[in-house]
Amino acid sequence: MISGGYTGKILRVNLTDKSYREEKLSEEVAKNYLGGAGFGLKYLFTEVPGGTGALDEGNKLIFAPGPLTGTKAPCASRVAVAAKSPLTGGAGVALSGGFFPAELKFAGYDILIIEGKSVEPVYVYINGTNVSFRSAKHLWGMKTSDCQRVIKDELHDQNIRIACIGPAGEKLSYMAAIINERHAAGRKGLGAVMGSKNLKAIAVRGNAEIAIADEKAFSEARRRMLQAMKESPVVYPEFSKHGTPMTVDVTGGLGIFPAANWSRTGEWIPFEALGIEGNNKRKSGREFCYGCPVGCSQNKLVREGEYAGYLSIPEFETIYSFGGETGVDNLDSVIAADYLCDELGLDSISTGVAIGFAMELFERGILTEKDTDGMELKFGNHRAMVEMVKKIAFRQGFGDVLADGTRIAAARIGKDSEKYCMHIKGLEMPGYDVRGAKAHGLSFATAYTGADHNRGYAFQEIFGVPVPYPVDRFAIEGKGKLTKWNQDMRAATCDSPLMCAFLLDMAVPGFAAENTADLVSSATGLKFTPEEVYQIGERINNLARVFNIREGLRRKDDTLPERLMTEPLKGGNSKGQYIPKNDLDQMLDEYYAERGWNKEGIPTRRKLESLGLNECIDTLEKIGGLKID
Amino acid sequence: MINVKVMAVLDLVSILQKREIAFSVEDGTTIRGLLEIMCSQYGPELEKKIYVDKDKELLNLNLYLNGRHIHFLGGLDAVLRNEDTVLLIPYASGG
Ligand code: SF4
Repeated sequence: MISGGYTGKILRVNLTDKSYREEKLSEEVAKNYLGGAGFGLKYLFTEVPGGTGALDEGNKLIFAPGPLTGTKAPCASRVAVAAKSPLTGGAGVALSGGFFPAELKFAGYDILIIEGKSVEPVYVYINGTNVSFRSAKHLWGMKTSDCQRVIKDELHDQNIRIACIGPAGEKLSYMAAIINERHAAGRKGLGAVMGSKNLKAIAVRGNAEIAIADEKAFSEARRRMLQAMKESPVVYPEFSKHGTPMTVDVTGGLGIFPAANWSRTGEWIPFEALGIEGNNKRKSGREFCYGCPVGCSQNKLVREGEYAGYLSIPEFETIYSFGGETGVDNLDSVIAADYLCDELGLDSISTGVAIGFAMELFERGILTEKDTDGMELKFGNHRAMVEMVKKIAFRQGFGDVLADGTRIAAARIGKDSEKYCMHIKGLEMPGYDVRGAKAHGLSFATAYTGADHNRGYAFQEIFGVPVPYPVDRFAIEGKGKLTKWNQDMRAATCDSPLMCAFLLDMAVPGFAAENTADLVSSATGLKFTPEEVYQIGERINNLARVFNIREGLRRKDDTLPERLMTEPLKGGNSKGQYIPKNDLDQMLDEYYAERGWNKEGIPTRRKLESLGLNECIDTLEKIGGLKID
Repeated sequence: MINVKVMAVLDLVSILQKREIAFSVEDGTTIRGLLEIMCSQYGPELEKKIYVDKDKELLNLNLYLNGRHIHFLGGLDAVLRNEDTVLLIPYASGG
């Protein structure tokens, strides 16, 4: 029986008729899906019919923290946001941290399901069990920090936690993010889903305590995790001191820090400007998510020059997307662009990659100043890069062409531009040139959310962590098996309990499933073995796969951008590496076999039955022309 | 003699005072041998960064030879060849 961790309640909010109701969380759903992404995907699959448009009223926006969120488990204040993604057309899941996730639990909810569409701009105020719908007409057009401030002022409560969209979400940019504090559920265009519902913000306040089923066992599990963090060679002081920008130096060293829309990876590595050296010069304090002792989020302040005064927390991915990807080695401008993304509500990865893509087209003469509103959109032009962020958010001029991501931009531009598009399933590539990290590449190709480093991070290849075994990053063989492990472990031990994923490879890689089983069992009173935890990860990935198949995605979509399959890297420590189509096919065959899927990547009946996913079998049987084994 | 290039990142750069250093070493020198030469030049600060233990068997960082992790090339006993690049990456994370 559930006796802690979970609040046991779901809040369902309907924006069409401004109604809401509470539902009970079923123990079966908790046992099978754990929380977070698992809950989000389960409800998405069951409640959003196949073929629903991502921006249609029928799409739902689901916020789900996990059973550990709001407890004393370290680094667990995270929330998964799920909806059908406008960028990929498949299952969209993005995670965010900060304080909003814990507050949602304190308000009393394991899941918040937003459905329908308001006629006019609205925000939802959840104060414990009181839910009200308030006009957001006066907030429409506001930047995210202004929106949060104004709501706090008008509700006379500075401790309210708010998730909101900026102008990009209002204008339905497929790259729009949902921002809480300065954290983002950034990717897959979930901000556009929120905008399509005319929902500007969700303001949450609560003061319930999260019960713990077995205090003694929970504090022992917690102690073991904190000890592992202390003993980690990385968490203290390195990671808490430098944060994710360390990865610029690591990927630069490995020759896989993407440069100039991936055309010059390994040949141009701006270590000094964009790595920890440049970052440390601009350090200005750090931030902690609720209940996290690490505090990896490093504030960076521009102290002089034309971007003086800008302050943001540019993570590795943002330094890649506005730095390496656009050929810009001016970190101040990266900080400015990052700040603008947070304020205007854009995903910094997709936005930077869209700009880098346009820069390559400009360099190749496919675009000219006539197309770009007179801007010289060349690699390295930091002023144009920053200007483009604003234009995209407001859909001004050429910004409108890029506002829905590279895939749609290429279709609009034509002239064979698709071949310079760095996306998978419509989602722009994160900052790892996977020509030199093959399992990472296979995970990007097969992740249910598209090119997403967060669905199966191959830390064995990037950080040399030898768990579950050492991995040769250049090899093809064995990558199917490894990718399944990475994806299932990530879904089970990070995306669902919820737990900051940084801890998976830094502190608990050798006992991640045990760690989750012990923490969640003692918190909730439900019993999970490590094997059951791992299987939950597998169930989540299979459910998401069937969701995507229902939406028309197939083996052909498990692919890589053309450049990665045809152009070997020309410099750096991965020189000569690439992933020819045959190698990708070989990895895919192995991956599907490991997963118990057929050659087309369709889960077999046997596999789905073993995971208790009988509703997925029904779904597949209804799809015409599909071969199910 | 053969010429090899050593490349380092993160806080190793401040110890070595350079990101890339060229070394001329005897034919047949192993990675272990190269690390010995480096430690004798740069002292205990570097030694502490490279090894976990006094016996110098457990590494405190990842080592790559021409981009491939040395685990797959014979470990510290891998023999260097002319024009090889040895990459040193301290344990790091957070991507
Ligand atoms: S490690 Fe960083 S991102 Fe993770 S919970 Fe702590 S502060 Fe937040």
